[in-house]
Amino acid sequence: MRKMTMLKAGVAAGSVAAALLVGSIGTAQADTVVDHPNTTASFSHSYGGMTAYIWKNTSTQAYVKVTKTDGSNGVNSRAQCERGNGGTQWYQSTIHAVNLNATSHYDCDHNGTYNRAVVGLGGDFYAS
Amino acid sequence: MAGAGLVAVLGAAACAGGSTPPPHLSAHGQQLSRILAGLEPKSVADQFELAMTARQQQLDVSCMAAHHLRYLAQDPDNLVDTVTETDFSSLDYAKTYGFGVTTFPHLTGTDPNAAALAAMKPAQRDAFNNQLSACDTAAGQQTDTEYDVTAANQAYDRIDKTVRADPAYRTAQDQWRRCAAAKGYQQPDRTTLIDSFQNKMGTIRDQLTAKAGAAGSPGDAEVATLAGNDAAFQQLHQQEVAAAVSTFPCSQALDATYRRLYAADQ
Repeated sequence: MRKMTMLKAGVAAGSVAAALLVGSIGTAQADTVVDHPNTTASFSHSYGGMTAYIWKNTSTQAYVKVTKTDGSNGVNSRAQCERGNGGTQWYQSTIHAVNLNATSHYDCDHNGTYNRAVVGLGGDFYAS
Repeated sequence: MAGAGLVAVLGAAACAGGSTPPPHLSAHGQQLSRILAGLEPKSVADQFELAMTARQQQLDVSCMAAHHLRYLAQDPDNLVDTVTETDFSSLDYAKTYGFGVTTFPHLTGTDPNAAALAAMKPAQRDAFNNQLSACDTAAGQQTDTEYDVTAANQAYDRIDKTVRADPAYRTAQDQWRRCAAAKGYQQPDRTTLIDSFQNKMGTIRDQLTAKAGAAGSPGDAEVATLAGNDAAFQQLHQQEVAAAVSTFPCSQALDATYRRLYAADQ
């Protein structure tokens, strides 16, 4: 499933590295994108009054679960999927999880055309 | 959305490719097999991915409507990053992103369903998301069927295995090693070279995240700001770009051999 936003402020940032990194960041809704490329170590992130836990559920599945909710902010799962040739591509789930214990996930081996493995994890946090 | 148009264009492009699709693959499957093998340009691969995503969104809308729920289709660019995805065929990409390790995803737009979700009560939101999850799973399966994704990947796996066992490809791999070594890179193949940067990036990313977290917000924007002034990150990015650019001719030669052998086995 899926979703959303980021502003392009970073693209105009000065250094090449900053521009690269911020390629997807920012938004008029002040959402926060938290991506951990090239690592599948689990992590938690708080946004407003909500907290979400992000982890690699299987070799091809990225998962996020709301562990604390404020009833308005939520998160969409994001996954960096690896192709057979070693290249990668990022995807975002359509599901925006808000409620306590609600989940959002992305299957690298089902939704994309490059079905190999999940190699990076992330979440897009924003107010519903 | 423009999905139908894209499909038509992609179908025509597949026919223009010259190869006769194997009987077990549709035109879409044949094209996807070629995409997976690097026989199609990035633009075609991106169109294929976005068309698939648009189709899945259309199916989501119909499915939700059948359950009396209003779901607005997402812009595919919200869901699939076709900007920073690895592109081994482009020197410009190598000069900008290296292998795509020291970069973050580029997904744009907003969720048109956000306002409706915000207005729902928790129970309604759960019901909506549970139904959307079920619809999206079914839509994904149907889209995979329509675009022959499973069969294309199976074909890719089969041909890829054959190509990698081909003496001509192994000779080309040896040539890649010598070429890369002459440039200063001792890794046995490109994937191992990329892995070395991924491992280093993971460590640096952890450090940057910890710094951003200490400052109150470990989001990408904050990490990017820190990275812009982080000597270790800057050095790694420069090293990655240098490696990608230096070994680009080596990889082009190897990839050309791969494509030739793959096309011959289709």
